[in-house]
Amino acid sequence: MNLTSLSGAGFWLGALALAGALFALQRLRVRHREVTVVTTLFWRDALEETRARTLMERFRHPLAYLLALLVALLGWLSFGAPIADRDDGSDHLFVLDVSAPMAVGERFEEATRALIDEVRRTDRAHRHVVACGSRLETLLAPGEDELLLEERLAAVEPEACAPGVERALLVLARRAGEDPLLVVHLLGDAPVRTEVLALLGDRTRVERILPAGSDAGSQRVAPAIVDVACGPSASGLDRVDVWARTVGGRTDLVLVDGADRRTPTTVATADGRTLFTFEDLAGDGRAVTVEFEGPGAEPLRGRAEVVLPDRRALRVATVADLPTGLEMALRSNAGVEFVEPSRAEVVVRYVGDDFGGGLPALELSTADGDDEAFVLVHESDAADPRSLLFEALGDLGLEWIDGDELATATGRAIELGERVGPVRAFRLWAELCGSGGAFARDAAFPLVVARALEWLSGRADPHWIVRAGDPLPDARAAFEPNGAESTAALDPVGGQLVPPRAGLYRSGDGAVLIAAGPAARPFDDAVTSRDAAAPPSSAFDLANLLLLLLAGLFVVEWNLVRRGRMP
Amino acid sequence: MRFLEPNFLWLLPLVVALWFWPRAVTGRADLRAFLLRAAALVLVVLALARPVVDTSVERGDAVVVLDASDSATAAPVLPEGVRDFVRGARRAALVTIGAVQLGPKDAELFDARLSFARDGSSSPLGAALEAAGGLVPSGVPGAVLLFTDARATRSDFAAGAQALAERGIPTFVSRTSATEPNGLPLSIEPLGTLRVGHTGRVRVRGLGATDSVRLESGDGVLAEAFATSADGRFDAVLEFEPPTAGFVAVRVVAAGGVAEATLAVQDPLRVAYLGGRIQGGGEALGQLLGAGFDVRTSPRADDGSLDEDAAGTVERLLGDAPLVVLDDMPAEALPEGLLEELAERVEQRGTGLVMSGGSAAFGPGGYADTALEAVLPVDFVQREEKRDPSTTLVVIIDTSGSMGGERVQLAKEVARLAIQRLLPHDKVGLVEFYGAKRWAAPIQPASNHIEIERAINRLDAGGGTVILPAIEEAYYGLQNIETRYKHVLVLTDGGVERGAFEPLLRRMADKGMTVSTVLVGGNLHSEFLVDIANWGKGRFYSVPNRFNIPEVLLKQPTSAQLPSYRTGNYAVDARGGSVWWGGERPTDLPDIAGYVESEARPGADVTLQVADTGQPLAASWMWGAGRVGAFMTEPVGSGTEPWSDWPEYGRFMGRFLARCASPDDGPYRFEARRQGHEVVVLATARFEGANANVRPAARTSQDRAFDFVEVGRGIFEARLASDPERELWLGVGHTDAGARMVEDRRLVVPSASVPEVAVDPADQLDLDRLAAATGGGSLATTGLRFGSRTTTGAVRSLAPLLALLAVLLYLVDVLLRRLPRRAASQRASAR
Repeated sequence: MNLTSLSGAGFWLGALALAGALFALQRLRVRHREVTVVTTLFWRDALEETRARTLMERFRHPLAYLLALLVALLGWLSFGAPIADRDDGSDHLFVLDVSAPMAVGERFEEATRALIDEVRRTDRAHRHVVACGSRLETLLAPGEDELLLEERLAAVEPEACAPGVERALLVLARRAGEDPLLVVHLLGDAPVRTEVLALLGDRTRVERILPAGSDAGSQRVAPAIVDVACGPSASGLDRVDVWARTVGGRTDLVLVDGADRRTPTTVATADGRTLFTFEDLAGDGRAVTVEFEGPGAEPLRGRAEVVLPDRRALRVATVADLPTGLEMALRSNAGVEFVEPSRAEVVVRYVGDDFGGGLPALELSTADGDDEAFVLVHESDAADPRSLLFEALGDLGLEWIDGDELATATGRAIELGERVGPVRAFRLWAELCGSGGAFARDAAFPLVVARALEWLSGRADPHWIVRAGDPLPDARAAFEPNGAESTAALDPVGGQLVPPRAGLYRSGDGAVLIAAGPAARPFDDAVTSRDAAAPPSSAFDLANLLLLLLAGLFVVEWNLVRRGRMP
Repeated sequence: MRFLEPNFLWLLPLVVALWFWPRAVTGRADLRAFLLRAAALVLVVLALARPVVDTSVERGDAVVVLDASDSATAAPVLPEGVRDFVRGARRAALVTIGAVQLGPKDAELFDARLSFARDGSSSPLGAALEAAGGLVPSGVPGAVLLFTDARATRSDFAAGAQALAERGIPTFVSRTSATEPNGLPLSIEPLGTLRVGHTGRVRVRGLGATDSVRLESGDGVLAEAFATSADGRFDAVLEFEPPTAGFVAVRVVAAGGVAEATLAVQDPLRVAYLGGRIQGGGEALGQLLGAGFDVRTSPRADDGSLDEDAAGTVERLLGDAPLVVLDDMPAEALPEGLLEELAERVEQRGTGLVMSGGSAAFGPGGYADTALEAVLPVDFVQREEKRDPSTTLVVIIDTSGSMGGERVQLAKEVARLAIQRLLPHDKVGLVEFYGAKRWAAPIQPASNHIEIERAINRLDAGGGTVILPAIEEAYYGLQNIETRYKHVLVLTDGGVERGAFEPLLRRMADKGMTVSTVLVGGNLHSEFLVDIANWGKGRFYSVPNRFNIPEVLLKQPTSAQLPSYRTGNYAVDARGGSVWWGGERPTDLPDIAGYVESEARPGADVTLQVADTGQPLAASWMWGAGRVGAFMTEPVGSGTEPWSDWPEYGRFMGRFLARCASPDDGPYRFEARRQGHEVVVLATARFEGANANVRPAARTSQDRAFDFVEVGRGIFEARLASDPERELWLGVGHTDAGARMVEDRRLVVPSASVPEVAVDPADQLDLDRLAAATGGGSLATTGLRFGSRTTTGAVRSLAPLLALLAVLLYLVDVLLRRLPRRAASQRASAR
């Protein structure tokens, strides 16, 4: 037994004080003397007048004293808020899965009830309760009153995210050889693979608690959208296909595109998952929704939004008097649409022109003006110039250029340089780009021009799969959530960017995303399960027993006092 | 205030029973005692009902993260201000990375401790951040105090930082000093596919400066290169030829240390070789290319006897080969439909195709107007020369009596005109028949104008008309004549005898002799002469008078195509970018001994060209998803015989073929990445229908298989839990018809962890952004505080307090009961 609001010394000091005080009171009893009265009429007055003013007397009525002391000590012990000593020499980590699969039916409520019961059975100093959804969050720190658990659980609900229990275990449950045994109690369906258990070490034991009377541990899978993917369509360069994968067997998924509700082109089922294909959508960066038709289209599991990749032709604005070779290369590029500068993503101009303002630009310089034939202008002076140039050789196709031929034709060394500028640009000598220019005759010229425009536009590749909990391809970009779900910006602070939960996010360049809840059991579970123990009778724990005993003794002692049996 | 067990409150009415039990309360003393006891009982009952009050939390939880990993130069020491802040916290937790020794006083500050990598093997700063946020209870204000050098062996900071920002837990950072290695290699990054026998490149980057870096494996030094150093970093690209396929452990040695990695070296490039004219061409090409190529030939290909029966063999040979070489293989020798199949593979699947060869390839090989002609990067050029084929003309003139007068003169005129058309190299003979036949002029060169004219002039009409022997005479006369055309022209008025003309004329036609007939004078038509012309595959003419003499067509001047394979020595120039030459472009290439003439199509990359004519010798271009090359001579035949002395020929040829080959092996393109403790493998079908019969497959070197699921059409994903501290070796490929895995490629998934002293500063945790994102700041400049984003308060139980109050009331009761009371007389006197 441990006291939670008193230290051991405090309790014993208080107990001693109580015993002493009661002992003193016991000795305050007056000494009787014999008085003879002539009539009983004066009985009372005689009693009063013969009462002695003796402060102390010898200690008598030890049973009465013990009873009073018992009453007082019970009260004092109750003040100490005793709890049973449940220390089994192990630490206990309770991990409550609050990922999307827990939103099915009563799964979450059953798990929380079992959690509360199980927590009560463990030693408060050696238990730690965490919720594990899109992030880790302590629900009950070691030593905290379990009353806090119920309070904090009231603010927890399943999130639209993948199970993160394995991650939580690897963060919180790795034990070294000299550590006490850690027993991890999992509440929820999130599976844990053998490989993960092996990483935890042999000082960690993991078990899953199955709430009594629930089927949470079964293979029951409720209909849910697992993920949404999109990619180029065979029907055209600017078209995209969308695929949605579901579990649970429903085949009535539709794609909502504004007022249009599209049914899937194909529906294929394999491995317990159903793959819906929606073909031939315009890839213009708009958001569409996939959802179950009718009931079950709730955001957490039955509905997912995705922003389609922008695969429209690159909008380019050019000055009027471009060298003929460059003009031809641009015109022959089917992926380019010529527009006004106000609508352009990239402009083609001469160095020094303000055409297109601050847009990324393919700029024509002169051999007299620039020492290098090709110059990459980038915004950040933090970029590693060598890396930038090295990657440019491949990204822009510069290694395909016949540099010797160009050097011979121009009488100049052909070099690649880099500069830091306010806006991204790719410069090349205008002399190379005329119809008779050596570069314009090179087979690599259209390739370099096309890739340069692509590099300048900064368009990300179409995101194939969007799923909460998976890193985004553009790891360095900062994303702003669009909506009230969260006000914090996603910031990778130097690492990969991982949208923590489903929702609609937008990046600076207008791309992406997000999808939905994960499958309930995407892989085999290696954790042994046990049924939750029967809930303890919370009304009759140790503290309540003491209080009930105290109340009873109060009544008994009152009876004795009233009957004059209690001196 | 609320009650957790409100049912106990039903006990409260029972307290009233004390008034009557065991006897009714009377008098003031009884009343006082009753009130005290009842109050005490009420308090106990209330305590039983578990009253709690929600209280706001004024103090938050502090989590201190101490990074004492390898790169930190000294163990962090808690500043006094931090100690004070921690002491004032509701609870405090300590998260340590590496071996941290705290003094006893500091250790007492913390209620909980969590340690990472106590053996110093790694620095999981991301996990420590995630744990730090996780240790602050829900709804409780908190603060994280982070002491770190910001370098971590894994850059998985996002989840932890995101959680701190979302929960409004300010993070105060203090950058500790870190060792700054010099000349230490950080990363070894393969540039493209590394393949055994092919020149591969790896890029080495490091910190500080070093003069050179050396790439080593168990076999010794693979490569050494100078490094460029600037801005505290160095960079080097090393070229080497992996000696073996498989997972090759390498180490890079620089001035300041060593880095180790495993490289996935792929098997030799599979080449499906279809060769015809060059015997043993496939084997010879394999020897030329060396160990980097696996040239597979069809057993029947070298015989030049591929036909429809070989279609299955060819299909197996092609398989998923990334490159097909058609070497001097005539189009007609290929199975039907193979050319279309090859064109489709190039366009749709990205299969590389190289056509090479001499007289049996390109135009000479009969590829004009085939499905491959449009695919090739060259236009077929075949120069033509006009030719006037040699002809022997035998003129048979009817000089019978019926041809008297103008008719014989007319026949002579026709004969003259016909003979005039002959050229000096032609031959002519003259047979007359007049009941008998006679050679008026034996077959002789047409240049003997005088002799022939005299013979014609000597002809005169008289006698009968017996034409068959005359034609027979011409037939035998033409038997031994060697000219391109042999023609017999019969000039008669039609009054000839009937006989067995047809067998003779058909025999003549079979032997290339044609017989034409000319009806002279009078009638315009003779069915008999028309038949003779038809049987003799000649023409029928009618000459009614001298004003209507037709032009007798004996032959048509023709244009003949010259062989486009030109033999002789030709100087060669190198062209193209560095991708074709792997460095400096050579300037002194040996001559070639023959090539097929062609012209490069617009957009084609010409790598070699004939110096004099500028015609391409090696060219390539992209066609659909694949690259198509044309090598305009025999790679291992007579055309390149002079190149046997060119030591770089094999390398050049290998580079040319490798550039044309598909960069992918097999029907799927694989991408593997680490995601926390998982390895995610994404397989994308390279072409439509790739997944119709085969599925992607992958397994680790420990034979653990991945379970792929289709997440989009042709997109498959598989996940496998894996220790992030260890690299993972994978074989990836596809399943065959028997659902067995066919390995197409090797992949190395690097460990997510690098030695902390070798962490690139560019990949370190951005402390300023973390502080800003979470609302914290620098420990040195910002006042410490707890976050204020409280969503739930703390709970306080009142039961112990009520129990204490009950005890106190009881003590008062006892005290009042026991305290000696004054006597009534005294109370009266006091009144």
